Amino acid sequence: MFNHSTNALLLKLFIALCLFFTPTYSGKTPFLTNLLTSCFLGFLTPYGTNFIEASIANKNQYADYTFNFVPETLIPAGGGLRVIFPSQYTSGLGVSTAPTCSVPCTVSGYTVEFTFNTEILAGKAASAQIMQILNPGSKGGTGNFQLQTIYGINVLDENLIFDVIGIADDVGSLTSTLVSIDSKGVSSAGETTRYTFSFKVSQLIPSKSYMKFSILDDNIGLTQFPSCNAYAINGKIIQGKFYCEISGRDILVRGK
Amino acid sequence: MGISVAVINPPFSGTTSSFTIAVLREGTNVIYDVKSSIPGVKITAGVPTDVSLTKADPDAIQSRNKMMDYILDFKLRNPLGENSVISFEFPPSFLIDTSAAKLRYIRYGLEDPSEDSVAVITVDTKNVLRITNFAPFTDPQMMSLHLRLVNPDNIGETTPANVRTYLDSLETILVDEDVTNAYTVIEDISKLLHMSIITFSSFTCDSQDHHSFRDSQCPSSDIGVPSHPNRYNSR
Repeated sequence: MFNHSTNALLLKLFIALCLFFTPTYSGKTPFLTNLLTSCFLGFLTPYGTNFIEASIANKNQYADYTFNFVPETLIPAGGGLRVIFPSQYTSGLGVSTAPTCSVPCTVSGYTVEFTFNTEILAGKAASAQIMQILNPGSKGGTGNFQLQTIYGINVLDENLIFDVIGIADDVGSLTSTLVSIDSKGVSSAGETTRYTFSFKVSQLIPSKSYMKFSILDDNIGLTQFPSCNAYAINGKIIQGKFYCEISGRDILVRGK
Repeated sequence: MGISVAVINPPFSGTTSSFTIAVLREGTNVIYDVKSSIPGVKITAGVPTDVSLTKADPDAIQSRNKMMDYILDFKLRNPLGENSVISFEFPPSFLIDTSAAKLRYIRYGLEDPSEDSVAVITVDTKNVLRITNFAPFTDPQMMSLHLRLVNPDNIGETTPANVRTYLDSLETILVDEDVTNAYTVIEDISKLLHMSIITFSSFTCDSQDHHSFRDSQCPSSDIGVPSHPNRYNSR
């Protein structure tokens, strides 16, 4: 029924449509754009030091997950990011029925869908975060996360091997923990002073480790690089010098 | 083990929120050990400076029971906001004048919140003066009040007034406190008169002339009083 000339015409029409309806178009004609997504499915590039960052990387812990990406295709307002977690996680991802995210989100099975209320330009780094996902129950690497940017029923960009996460063993517990105002410091409101963080570890800590003191109280003032040093407890003191850095409301302590 | 870190205490008293300590593997968010909900630390009230209570008129004598005007100066340590309260609790012996002629005003240091609203000074039945509805500030400056008080019936140092600031109108969050420096010294007047009598150098006895005085040589009926007692400044 279709002779060569009709085929050629159809092909030219198809190519013309492909070129005309670029994926940056707002997709008002679903059928055509659906057809055309097979022309131009963009690539979703991972971005940053950690493409996927879990706030706690131990098994069976609840962690906040951040996805850092650069879309190749503009995501219009109302579009979103779909993340399919690998099978090592549990279905439903351990979140409550109303998950908390940096932008509106829904969770179904292993899939999270974020919705962006403002457009994200092509080539511009963006991120989305979902809180309190239940980490897998066993340590080791996970499978790949699959990420797609979407608009309505259409997929704009995708990356099916976005990143993997290393899951570590169970967390141990610190004992004899205490935070107190340093004996040489003052307790009066508004004054600069020193707090001492004391603790006992439950396991042998390998040499390449760091400490994190989380200061939940917003009213405690922190400077970017506060001075910090070891404090003798029962005559025992950690050898060496330390330096401290603030990250959000956490003090990160590393040995020099 | 312990690590001591420099921080700045919150700008009001109370117990801080809790802390979490974790030990992690370098370069990762893998936790080795952790402890959360470590109880917060207790913060005490901030310390105002330059607190003083001095007489408004440098030449006035601070005698017992005299109603007179004072200047109360203070420099707070921490910021105060919209619903904050600055309170001065004077001892019952040192009454704040609440008669019709009561005189008290902010000399400087505290501003009205707007053109249509003025700072409010009230005195309650417990002899507590409160300033409210002032413009919030983040960097406290020297503040000064003019107050009319009735001196106590006792000579010597007065019991200090308790200077306290609160973040909230219900006075549950104490910010700064001074309970030692808002005091003054009531002078012993009888000593003043005695001193001035002794400064007379010459005297005769005269039963009619009451301008002279002498202790032992005059008959007891001739008792004079100095007509111009030298005023002795107790400073």
